[in-house]
Amino acid sequence: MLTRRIWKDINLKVDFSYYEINDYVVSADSKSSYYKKSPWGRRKINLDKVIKEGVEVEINGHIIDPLSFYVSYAYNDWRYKGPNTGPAGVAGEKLGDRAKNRVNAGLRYNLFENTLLLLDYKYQNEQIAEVCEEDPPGSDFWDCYDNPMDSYDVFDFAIEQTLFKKRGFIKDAVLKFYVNNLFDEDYENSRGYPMTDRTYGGALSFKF
Amino acid sequence: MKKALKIGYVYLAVLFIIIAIPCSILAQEKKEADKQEKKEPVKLEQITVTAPGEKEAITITPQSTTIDVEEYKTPGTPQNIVDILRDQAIIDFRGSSDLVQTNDNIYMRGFDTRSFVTAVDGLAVEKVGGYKGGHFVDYSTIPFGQIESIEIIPGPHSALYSGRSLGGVLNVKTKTPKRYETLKPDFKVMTSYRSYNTQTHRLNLDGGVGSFIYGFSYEKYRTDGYLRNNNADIDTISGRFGYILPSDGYISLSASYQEASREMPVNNDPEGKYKDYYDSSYPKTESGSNPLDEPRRDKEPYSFRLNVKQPTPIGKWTLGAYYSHDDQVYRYERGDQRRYKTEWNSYGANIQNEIELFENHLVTVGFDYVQLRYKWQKMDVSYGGFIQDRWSIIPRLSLIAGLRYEDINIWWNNKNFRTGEYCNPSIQKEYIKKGYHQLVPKSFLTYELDDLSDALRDTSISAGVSRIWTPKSYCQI
Repeated sequence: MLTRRIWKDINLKVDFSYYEINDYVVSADSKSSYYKKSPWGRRKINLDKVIKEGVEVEINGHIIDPLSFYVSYAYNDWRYKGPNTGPAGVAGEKLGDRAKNRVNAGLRYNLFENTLLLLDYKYQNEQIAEVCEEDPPGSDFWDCYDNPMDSYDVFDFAIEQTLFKKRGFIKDAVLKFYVNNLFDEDYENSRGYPMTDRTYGGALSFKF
Repeated sequence: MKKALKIGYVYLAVLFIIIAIPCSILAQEKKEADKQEKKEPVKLEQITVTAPGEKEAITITPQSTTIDVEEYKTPGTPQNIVDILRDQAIIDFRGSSDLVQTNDNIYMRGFDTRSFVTAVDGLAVEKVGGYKGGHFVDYSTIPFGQIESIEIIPGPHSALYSGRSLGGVLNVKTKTPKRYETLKPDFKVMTSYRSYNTQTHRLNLDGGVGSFIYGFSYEKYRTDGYLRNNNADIDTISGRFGYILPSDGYISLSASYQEASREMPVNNDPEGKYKDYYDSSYPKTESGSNPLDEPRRDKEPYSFRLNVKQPTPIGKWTLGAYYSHDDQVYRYERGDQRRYKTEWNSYGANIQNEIELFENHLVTVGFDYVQLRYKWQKMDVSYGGFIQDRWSIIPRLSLIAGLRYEDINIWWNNKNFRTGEYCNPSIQKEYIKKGYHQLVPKSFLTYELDDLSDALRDTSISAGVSRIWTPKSYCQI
């Protein structure tokens, strides 16, 4: 792991991680006979050895006084070290279905003394999630399927106005308008449900 | 319900005291202010300010990243801490909807909630209702208004947390009790409105009288949801009382109560098996159950927490304890109105002492205990003891070395309550108790490179090597 102040208050952290996990327990492949013979509906399986490698990078700080930012990146890679056959092999292969790369970033810009612009960005690359649902609930009938999901880029934007710092007994009155999912990206996160489309909102806060 | 009413009465009493105390003392405060005005002015010597001028929203250290919730700004209204955490790439949001957040909806470093620890003031959250295979953490039950910061500790290198912390630890720190300069309490109000009739309203009140402090928060969240059958209505109240001890220690007792009703999105696919019930006014949804089921989860969890901190000549003592009750009713009303109710009770305690035992050795020794019960049936009893030494080997080289011993008893479910079958037919018991124990070494070494070159100022490299162990990952309770 490397931690470094790059310039002024801009800090960087780079973290590489390596896991060697013996006896890692995951859900068995729902299509396998191993799974279907289970008296429990959703059967677990023991993977003898799993390797997980990852990288995380964080940078944040001010570029100039009114402009600050953060960038955060994560990489995950899962590997099953064992025979590719049998229920363990199939379950082990599914470990790699999770999204490998994720980037989050944000800009905060003080346009005027009391006006702040906020822009956030989120990226995640493609992944496959296994969805298991008991339908009808409580029936012990499980409907399981693989749900592939595309990569996505989502932007959120807000403008925050400090109305006043102190007026009478009211302090720090702040009004914020925001647009989430600015470009109306059509995306899913894990369970096969479309995530919320473009939405608009406003918030008012104050202290006294 | 009676319990809920009792808690409601407690909160009404708390609310009354919170409002009554400031009103009665405001007059007294004014008198004191008048007296002070009459006093002679005091001439101060030169003052050197050493504190940082501006609080950072995100603080990065080799061991952790800390987010100051008060300072952190997002382009939206955070519903709970997930909306802040998911800005960090180490956190993977996995929920079906960002408008209606449910249990276990984030991963950390690729691990799900059974393989990383979420803690409040250092005490791990164990279970939040539902069936045995899930529902470990519901982030909405942590009152947002009482949160000061979130500490993200990546990886399993801390001996202070259970072996379950493979991916790391999310430690939510509540507001540190502090003395108030005036008797008037601080109020903070926030109200927001978003598409799909999504509303968030929040009221926080914090104050103190002499060495006594108090706080109260109320949060209301409701939404019609984006997906079909995905309304949510959540009310959370919390309160706390505390006393600031001599030597800057404190005792704080807090309680929270929530009433939550969340509908679960249903299938809405014009080509799927429920195409006859397709409603074009909602987005197409391939997942989910029969739209006529209208499933939803209702719950009324509550918890009590005690935090004590006291510096003494023999180290800084910290004590934490909690009790939490999490019930959940799963409803799907298709004619016969079948429903399932689950009920979990958990207790936990932690005591630790941080002491500079020798020069350059900051030693933390502690013990923690957790008990988890399904209704009143014991499901999990865990004991943990730990010692950690933060050793400054040379001024630029430090080592955090720890040892943690865990003793865990788990009552594994041996009977399928639906089919009546036994998992292990040779033992005809509903639960089978099994014990596990392990000694787990942890280490984290940091070397600051400042002296090597001007180009390496404020640069450090670190390496952590730790053993990971937990029996809880298997069919976790």
